[in-house]
Amino acid sequence: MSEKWRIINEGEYSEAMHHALDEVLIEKMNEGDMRPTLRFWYRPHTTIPMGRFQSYHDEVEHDYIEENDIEVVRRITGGGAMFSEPGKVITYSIYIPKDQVSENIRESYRELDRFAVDALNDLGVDAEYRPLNDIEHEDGKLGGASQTRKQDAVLHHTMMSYDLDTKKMLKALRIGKEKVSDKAIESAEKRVARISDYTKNSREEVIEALIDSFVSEKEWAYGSLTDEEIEAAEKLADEKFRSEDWNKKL
Amino acid sequence: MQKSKKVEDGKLVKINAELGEKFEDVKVHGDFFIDPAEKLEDIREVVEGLDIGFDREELIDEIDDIDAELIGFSAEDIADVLEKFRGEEK
Repeated sequence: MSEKWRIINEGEYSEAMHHALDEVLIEKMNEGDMRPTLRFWYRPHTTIPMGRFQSYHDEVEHDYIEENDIEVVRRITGGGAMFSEPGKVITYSIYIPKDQVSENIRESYRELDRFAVDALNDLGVDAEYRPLNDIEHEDGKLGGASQTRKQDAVLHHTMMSYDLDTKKMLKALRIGKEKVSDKAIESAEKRVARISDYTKNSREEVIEALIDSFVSEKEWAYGSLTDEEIEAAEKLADEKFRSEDWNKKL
Repeated sequence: MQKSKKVEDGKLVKINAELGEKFEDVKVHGDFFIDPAEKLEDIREVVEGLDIGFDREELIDEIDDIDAELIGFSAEDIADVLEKFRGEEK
């Protein structure tokens, strides 16, 4: 299988569909049926992707979610709940053979987000990686990553705030509203930084800069999802990522 | 009842349980990572039905015996959260 990277920077899908695509593509990568791929996400609605091991009832404000028709989907990766509005976040997934990634999981987070931190720095955004899985500015968290590993492949996806409405985010997520005994942690988790606060570049330009940074010293070409990938994901989205069994299982 | 712990340089571990002499209706959740993911249920099963007066080292050994990588938390953190149920704050 050629090592030439496929870069997908197109396609608007529901939250459920994006997670289904992640599962379909990481399985294909694991089978060796796919070129390594970097895929950017576009969503038409306000959504919340939550961590695989989080409790639905603990993480979202149900009344606000229902009133505002926000789609909540449980990821196949761990980590925390995020808030996404159309055009206001940058999300990407990397599907890569396991032998190209550090075996040390902590190290692999740093490795796989390095291109993004470099790109942001080049745009004048003082971003840095903060273990385990955050991209931070000194003012707050810009974004976070999460991973899942198969036998022979790693899925690493990252979501960053371009210009999220932080007030809405705090209405939709229960961050800091639960009784965490340590007050200092509460305030830290509430601090959210946004890329647009530090650069005049548009979201599209930031994504282009991310792609330029990612592909440097790689063989690559822009590509699209195949019909077969989309069909498999549509089926999985219906069976799993739109089901209460999955989304509310914890 | 829910108790939780924010692990230093790690993630938030939360445990829900009904408490009598044992931990019952246990739910272990949070923004941590487990590889493979299915092993979360194995951890939960260690805690379900566990005697409230459990031995800390035995519990940690039992969780460590599960063939899974815990990322952002450890068996010690699970023990810490469970100890909070019996009023032992760290």
